[in-house]
Amino acid sequence: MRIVRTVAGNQLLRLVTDRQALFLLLAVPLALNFILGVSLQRAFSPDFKPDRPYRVALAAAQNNAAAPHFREVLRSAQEYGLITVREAVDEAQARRLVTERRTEAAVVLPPEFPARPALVIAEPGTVASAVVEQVVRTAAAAVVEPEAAAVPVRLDVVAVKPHRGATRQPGATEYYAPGMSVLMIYFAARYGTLSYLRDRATGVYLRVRASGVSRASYLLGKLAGNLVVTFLFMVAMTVATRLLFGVHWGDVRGWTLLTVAASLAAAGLNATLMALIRTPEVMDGVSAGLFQVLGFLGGSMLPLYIFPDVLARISHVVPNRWMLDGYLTLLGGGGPSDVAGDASKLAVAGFCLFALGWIIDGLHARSVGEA
Amino acid sequence: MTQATVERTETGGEPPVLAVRDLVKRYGHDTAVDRVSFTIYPGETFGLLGPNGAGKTTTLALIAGLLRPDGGDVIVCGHSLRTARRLAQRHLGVVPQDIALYPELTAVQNMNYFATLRGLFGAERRRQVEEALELVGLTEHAGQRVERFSGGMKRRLNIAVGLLGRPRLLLLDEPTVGIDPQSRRHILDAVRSLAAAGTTVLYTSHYMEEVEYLCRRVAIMDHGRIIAQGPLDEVRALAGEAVVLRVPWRPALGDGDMDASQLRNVLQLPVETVDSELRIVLPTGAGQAPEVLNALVRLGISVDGLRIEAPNLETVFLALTGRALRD
Repeated sequence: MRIVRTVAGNQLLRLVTDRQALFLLLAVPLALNFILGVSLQRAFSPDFKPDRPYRVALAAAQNNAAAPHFREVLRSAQEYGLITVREAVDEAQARRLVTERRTEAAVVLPPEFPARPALVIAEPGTVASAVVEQVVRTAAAAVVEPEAAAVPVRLDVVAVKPHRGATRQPGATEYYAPGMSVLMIYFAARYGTLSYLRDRATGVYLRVRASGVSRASYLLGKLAGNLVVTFLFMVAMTVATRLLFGVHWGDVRGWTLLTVAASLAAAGLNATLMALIRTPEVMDGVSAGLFQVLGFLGGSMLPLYIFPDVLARISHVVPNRWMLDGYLTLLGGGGPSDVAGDASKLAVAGFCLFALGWIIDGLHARSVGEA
Repeated sequence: MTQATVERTETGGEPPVLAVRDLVKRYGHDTAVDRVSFTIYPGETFGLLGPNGAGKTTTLALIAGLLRPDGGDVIVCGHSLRTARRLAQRHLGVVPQDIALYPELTAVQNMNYFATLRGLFGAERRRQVEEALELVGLTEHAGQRVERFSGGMKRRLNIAVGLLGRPRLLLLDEPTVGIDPQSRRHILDAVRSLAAAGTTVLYTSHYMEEVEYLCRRVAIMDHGRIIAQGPLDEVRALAGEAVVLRVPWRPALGDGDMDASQLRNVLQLPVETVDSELRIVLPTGAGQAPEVLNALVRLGISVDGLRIEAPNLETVFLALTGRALRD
């Protein structure tokens, strides 16, 4: 335990004294938080209005009793300046209008609506698709009240999942505070991982092992250091975004539970990468790419609700998504029980990745004849 | 090649600090260390000499207990690395070939970290850190970040870390690579001071002059095997009558279009090119020189000057392997 403590403490000391690394680790997510928060502020606002209305084709079955109500809601959106509506004969024509880019989106209301869902056709990932989706949801909810929770809308874009326990949606700056933090959490954990690989490359590892320290103790110390650094990174980000942008991260117990689990997941992923990639230079490049992909898929760069269906499905197995979902739930007013599910998934994933990294590193050490 | 072993000089019947017995390390079909055996006695500075890739660093990693041998054993102060690794390692200090330090930390922070890992705390840790820094002449730079150190200072600190825990056996792996002559002198003097204070040193290098300066006994390694070992004078004597003929070598200026291996074949002598110079071993002594010089002239090599060198460890290596001890 003394060795583990010493190695972990050394890692922390080195990060604290490495002003350049520390600056980058904190300044990059805060800067991105600021830039994205300001530039996408309007898109997150309930008063959002595009520069010009989005063109929407409506193919509504004439014999559907709900169609007039539906048109009414769409007309309200049109008067507000969000959309302009044109009629389409059927679904085929509506689709054609979208694919030929004569409209940004199309809405298909089948004769059986609300038994069969309404359909939104739009290019995945566009702001237009997100806006039209929201309008259609509102219209559908108005038609089928009081069962608004089970909104019968099927979309070619992702269906919005309301955050559990959350009572309000975050603004852009609030969204990107956890968004950027969960992107950078891997980089915080990577500091120790790179250190382990550099130690192996430079002879520090030889020196330490020759002084009677086992591989297990040393590796455990490095991984414990990763956990501590990652947790402290999240503390720093939480405090910094609170002070700079006024972001309230919500329930402290929920935050602690989620952050411990998120740190475990980030450190676990790094442990696996460290075991698979044996040189610090390759680790540097590969991990940077991978972490950004994970950040993208997890919603750190683009809001989750505008994700296309396929990416949205993938995002459900990405730890960043669990982290971000959890933090957004807390931001929206949720408590520890609301984030327990995400925290559990993160903790299990982190533990499994730790174990995997441990085993692979052990196999590698054995293959090179390490004692 | 058969191993040229010179009878060992034992020091007063004291048990050895290090006994390496038939050590073998294989990587697949490659044998990195091939039945290496040598013994080091208390207070000795033993030189392990060989070109890069000879197997010196692997041998050191085996002695340090980092690698598991495929054969043989290492006994450190009576403890076998196979059966009592931790006990054996307590007596070891290792100075790796690379600078095994954290540049973002100060010298004393580095020292404290490695000292704590060795189980040193409080006043004892402070005392040993101060002593080690003083020995390598870095006391005044204790609070300075290592990244601001010169190459030589880093090397000296690298050695100081190896002294923590007051090891009975210090393993020094090429401790002077890539540093200026002044720092090299400082390091060599520090090693001598350590030896004078009773520390046993295993010193590996491919600089034969360093080994000749520091060590009374040496082993020469090549391709994972020890090809010669024993007291310095006796190993030198393995060269027999041999001397080295050194001739300037400037192929770009018209010194023929042959390389060392072609010259070796033509002259039927060990030949190596080092730093614009041909080094030719004359096994029967300087009397062979005229005949060889004539042969060189016939091959179109202009002999602008020459030097005949008395046998040294490099001559021995050249005579035994046909190659030079160099990077």
